[in-house]
Amino acid sequence: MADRAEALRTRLLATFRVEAQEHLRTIGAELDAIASAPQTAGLEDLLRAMHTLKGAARSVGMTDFENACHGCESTISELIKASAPPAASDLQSLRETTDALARVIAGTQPATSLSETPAPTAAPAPSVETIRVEVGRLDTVVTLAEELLSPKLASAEHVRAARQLVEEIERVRARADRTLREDLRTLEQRARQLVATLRRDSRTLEAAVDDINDEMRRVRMQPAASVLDVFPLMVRDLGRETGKEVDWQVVGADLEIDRKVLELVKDPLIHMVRNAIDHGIEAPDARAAAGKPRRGKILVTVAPSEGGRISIEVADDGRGFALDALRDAAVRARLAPVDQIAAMSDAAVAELAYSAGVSTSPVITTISGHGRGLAIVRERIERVDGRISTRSAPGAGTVIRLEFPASIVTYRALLVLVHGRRFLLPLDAVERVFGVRQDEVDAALARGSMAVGEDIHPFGSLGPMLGLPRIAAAETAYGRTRSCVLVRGGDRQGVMLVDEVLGEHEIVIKDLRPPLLRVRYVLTTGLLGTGELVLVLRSGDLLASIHRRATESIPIASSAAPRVRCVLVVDDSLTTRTMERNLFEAAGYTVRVAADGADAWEMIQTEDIDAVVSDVDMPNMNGFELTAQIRREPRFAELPVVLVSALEAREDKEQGIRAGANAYVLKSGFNQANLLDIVRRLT
Amino acid sequence: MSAGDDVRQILRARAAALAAPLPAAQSDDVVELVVFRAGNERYAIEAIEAEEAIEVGDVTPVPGLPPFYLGLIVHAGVVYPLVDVRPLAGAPVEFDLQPAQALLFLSSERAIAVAAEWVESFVRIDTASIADGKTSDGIVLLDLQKLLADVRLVVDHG
Repeated sequence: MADRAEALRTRLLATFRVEAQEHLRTIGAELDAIASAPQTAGLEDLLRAMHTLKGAARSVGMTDFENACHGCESTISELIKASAPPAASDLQSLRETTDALARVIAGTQPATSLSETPAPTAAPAPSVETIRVEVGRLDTVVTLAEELLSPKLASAEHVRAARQLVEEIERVRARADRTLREDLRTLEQRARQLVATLRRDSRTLEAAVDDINDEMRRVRMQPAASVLDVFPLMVRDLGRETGKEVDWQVVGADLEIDRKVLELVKDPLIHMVRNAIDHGIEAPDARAAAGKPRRGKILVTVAPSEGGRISIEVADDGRGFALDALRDAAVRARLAPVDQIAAMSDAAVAELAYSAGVSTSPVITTISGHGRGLAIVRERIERVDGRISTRSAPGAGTVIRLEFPASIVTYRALLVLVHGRRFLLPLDAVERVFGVRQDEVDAALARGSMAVGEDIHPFGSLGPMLGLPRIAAAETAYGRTRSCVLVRGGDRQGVMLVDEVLGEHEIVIKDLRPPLLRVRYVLTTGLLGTGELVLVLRSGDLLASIHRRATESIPIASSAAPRVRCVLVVDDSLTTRTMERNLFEAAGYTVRVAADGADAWEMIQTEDIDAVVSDVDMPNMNGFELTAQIRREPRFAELPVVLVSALEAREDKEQGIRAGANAYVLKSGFNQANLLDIVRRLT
Repeated sequence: MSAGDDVRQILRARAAALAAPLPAAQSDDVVELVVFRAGNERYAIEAIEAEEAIEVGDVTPVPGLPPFYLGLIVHAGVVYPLVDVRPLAGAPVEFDLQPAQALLFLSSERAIAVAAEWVESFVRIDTASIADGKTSDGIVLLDLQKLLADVRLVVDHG
């Protein structure tokens, strides 16, 4: 316990050293500027920096250092009050103290010497070695560390897949004959060794990644004081501006919080404090009349909350939320029907303050009153997975409580829309995103694969795969070009059809807990910036599913002849020709086209055609005549002929079959998938 | 018999003793229950076991889960599956729940949110008036520990 406290103090001191160097540099520069052109401007900045430095020293318990800062602060305050350019002697004494402070920080002068007359003794203070790192560079390292989360999550998946493989070998071995059984045993042993190795690597990776991220989080930790120290000045200024007297008190400023989180809660805090002064605390006379002390008070309490979270409460002793005014404002903003708002509980009414457009302030001041503030506060807090709640007692004051995690780890993912629902795909599982014409999508769906560049990948639609209900109205809304995502997982790839790609998002990972141990297709969940919870899909499961579908839909394709087959498309309509050409080409056929039966007959005799898909109604030689012509020639007796026609009469179909066609497809019920299936069966 | 078996037997006997029915309830045995409505029934869970009762905002549906899982909600940084207790309690499911509120249960091993159309009240009930798992005014008592341990809740699509 003592060790941990000591370790914490060491870390705090290290943080303080870096921060102090920064402030001392600012102070030095300000002093230089004032000395080169004696003036009062710049003294305020100097005061601010000195004050922050004092606060930081206090939070690490460096009393001598704090006192020295306090001395400087008093001197500067006097200079500001005097509102005359500072004398050279004053600047000189400030400069000497600042230099002494810098020596203490550098470890070349003991802190105790600050209470004596400055004497540059070279007794080195025991110190932790520190280096200054640019915040931007630190953030880069943090981001890199967070990127390791993806392979960490994936490696556990790989172990699982490898284990399944072992089980499969086991099953095959049980059914195999004796000679094969020996070979399979060896194979199984090797696979088991591989699983063991993978599992070990996965554990090592997991431990290392978690450690790195924990350590990075620690590196980013800063005392809450680093944000709260700017407030006393702001409170004083606002008090002056509004004619109110306000005391400011902070409890728990030394609690450490992730810098990323601190940055995000800083503005909401500023907003809450401005609100407390502008709306909460009454003017001195009004307070006196209400039997309260003339000076109002704002108390900020920073405290650890359950589950590694932090709470910050901003409490004022002002007039409290004006619930009736809030009700009126909500009615003005048309948030809900009048009678409904009238029936709301006080707690529910206080909640209304967080809705956009609700302001009780009759006058829009520069400080607050625009009615957007608290809505933005809530939005910002929810972005870091935080919550906001309010307690208010009329006449006695308001307490606004923020609660958020002490640190956050973010993760980048692609947000997609499928059948009206939003899902996330891990960014490292997304190879590329592209648009595809509707007719190509239909053909790819029919054959279960799609060509992307040089490669042919299994293809599936994400909605049906996840078992989502269809939204009929949405189907036509996505127009002629559909969005596809090429997904990668392990050594597998596959293309998935989605309704819309909504872009990359930074999310906060929220893992599922038992009893949800492993949910098919779900890797984990993520919080979007809006606070919305969205499922992160597991690429391994998705790929397994589309690979399975692909092999089911083409049972013989893999053993079929390696030669590329050629389809002759015969139609007098250019549109139909083009459409059918696309259909067959996308399915991996080469395609020749002819505009009528006579053309077609010539090509059949001279070229290597594997199947004929022909219209019936055509000039020169119609489809029936073409079919009959083909069948007359013995060498084409087996050449598959499919007639596609708008003629729906039964006798036409019979005539087609009589002429020797293998299939007769009606254009009215014309379904490309059906046509493709027929040709595939025949070739 | 090994020493390990001995220990196991002792432990089993101890566990059995803990699980034995309580001696006849005295009239001053009072439990505090949180009562909520789901479907056509009112249910009650011992109040000390409920972490918190919250308003249900957005529910994220999860494809492929059993139908009594209504989806996921997030509260205070924890993701809870929202559960319709009716089928688990053996009650008929005549219509879909419109869960406006939820009772949260969180332990180191489990996170569950029980869906309620509304959380009615906290009541103090004499344990003597409980018969057949129901209070005298027909509220169904749920044994939370049993509910949490229900194997039907476990989802492991291996």
